[in-house]
Amino acid sequence: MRGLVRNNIYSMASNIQLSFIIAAVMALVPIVFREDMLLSMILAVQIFIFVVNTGTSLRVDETSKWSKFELTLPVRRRTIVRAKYVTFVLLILMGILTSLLTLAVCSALGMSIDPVMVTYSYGFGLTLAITSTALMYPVMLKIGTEKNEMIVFFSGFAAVGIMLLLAAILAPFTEGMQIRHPLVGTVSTCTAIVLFIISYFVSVRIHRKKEFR
Amino acid sequence: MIYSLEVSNLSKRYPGATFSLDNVSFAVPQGSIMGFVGENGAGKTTTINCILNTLKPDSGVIKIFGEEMTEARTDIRNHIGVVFDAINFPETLTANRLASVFKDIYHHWDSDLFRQLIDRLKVPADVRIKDLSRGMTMKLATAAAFSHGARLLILDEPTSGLDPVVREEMLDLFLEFVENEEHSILMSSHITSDLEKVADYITFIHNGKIMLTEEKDALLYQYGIARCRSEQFQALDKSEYLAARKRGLQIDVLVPDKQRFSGQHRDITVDNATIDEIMVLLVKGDQ
Repeated sequence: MRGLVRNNIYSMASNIQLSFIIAAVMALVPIVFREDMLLSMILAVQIFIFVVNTGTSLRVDETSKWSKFELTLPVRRRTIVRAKYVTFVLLILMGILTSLLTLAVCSALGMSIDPVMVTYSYGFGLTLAITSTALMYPVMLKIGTEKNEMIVFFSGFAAVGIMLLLAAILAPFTEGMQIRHPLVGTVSTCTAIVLFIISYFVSVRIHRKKEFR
Repeated sequence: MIYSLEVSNLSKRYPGATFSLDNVSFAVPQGSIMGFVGENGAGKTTTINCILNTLKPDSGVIKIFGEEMTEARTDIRNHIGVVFDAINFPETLTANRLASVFKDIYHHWDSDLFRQLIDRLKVPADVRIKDLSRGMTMKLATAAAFSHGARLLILDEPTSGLDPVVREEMLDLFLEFVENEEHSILMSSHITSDLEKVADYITFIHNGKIMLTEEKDALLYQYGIARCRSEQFQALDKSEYLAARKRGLQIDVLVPDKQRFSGQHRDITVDNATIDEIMVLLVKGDQ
């Protein structure tokens, strides 16, 4: 599986580099603007920005026929799918790491960081990143990658929708519907992780039945 | 005889399409090159995709090295090299990066051999695949297929679109590969002249059905094309020929034993057959 993960990372290398540059520039924004709301957005976007390119990468795999060729390698279909999910986890970890850079910049500037805001930002960013990949990959596997931009867009919206729904469900415990409540962030992240695990099994099932001409 | 690949009664139908593979059966003997010939849409790629499990056959059995090939048999796939008529690999990778990927996938990846092969074939190691010419891409795919201890190569149109010099280089590599008598190649191609140079056996496929499997030397030296006039053709028994095709006033007749046919029909001219002519007669002619 290591070779497949390595390949996934190599084939996204230029996109990852671009995401790093954007995330690094965003980490410097607090030097100029010291707003909690802006900082919250930066952290969430930094976590999400690396996985947003996976749609393009999956499309490239399909057009170069790598998706077909990798079936001829001495690996099972479930291993191919597992390697994709490990890659998604690595991309989310890269996002988390660059978001820590932003917190380090804030700390170096002597900014006071609101822990509730940080929890919300990480909850929102992780929910967005994990839910998007959990929805995006099986859908692309099933219907193809031709409409990858639309699928990424839809997955992002669905992630926000899930968070709003959970905020509504948890309203009795959060003194009204509060999307920024730490409980909503925590439950959303846990829900996203469960969705991600379900998504893996669904993707394995789809891949097993998929034919590559 | 030991077979590296045995395909038995393979059938595959695409939903909503009229084309189907119909009980395809053939076998590639160990130590040989099998040319797989047919017109566009005859079923060559579908057969190869079923062998490689990228398509799921409706029925039939595929045995590789005497064992049934299934999705779970990664041990068998460790010994199969594949070249498709496409880019094959992620376009953003270089040959060097591809090698580091395959090193972690194939149990017997030989980095030194891969390096030697890409040097010999003059494939740049640090240029992205999307910037390589088609010839270079196919050479890279061939080098990769050779570098992991494969005992069977499955090649789908590996020389199509290549210039004669590159094609010759590729054919030389294939011949070197089968110098080891445990190695075998299944190679589909439109370029029958390539198969005449390297193949030991030829299998013809048409409309999803196998028309003929024969030793190449038998096709070239034993088979023949009888040039008949209409009345000569009418006098022939159906068991004497495999296919016939009217060409103007002449009827070309494919006969399996030109010497015997000439002996029985001294007034009919019988020419040597090329693979191209045999294919045209099998595809266009009446059986």
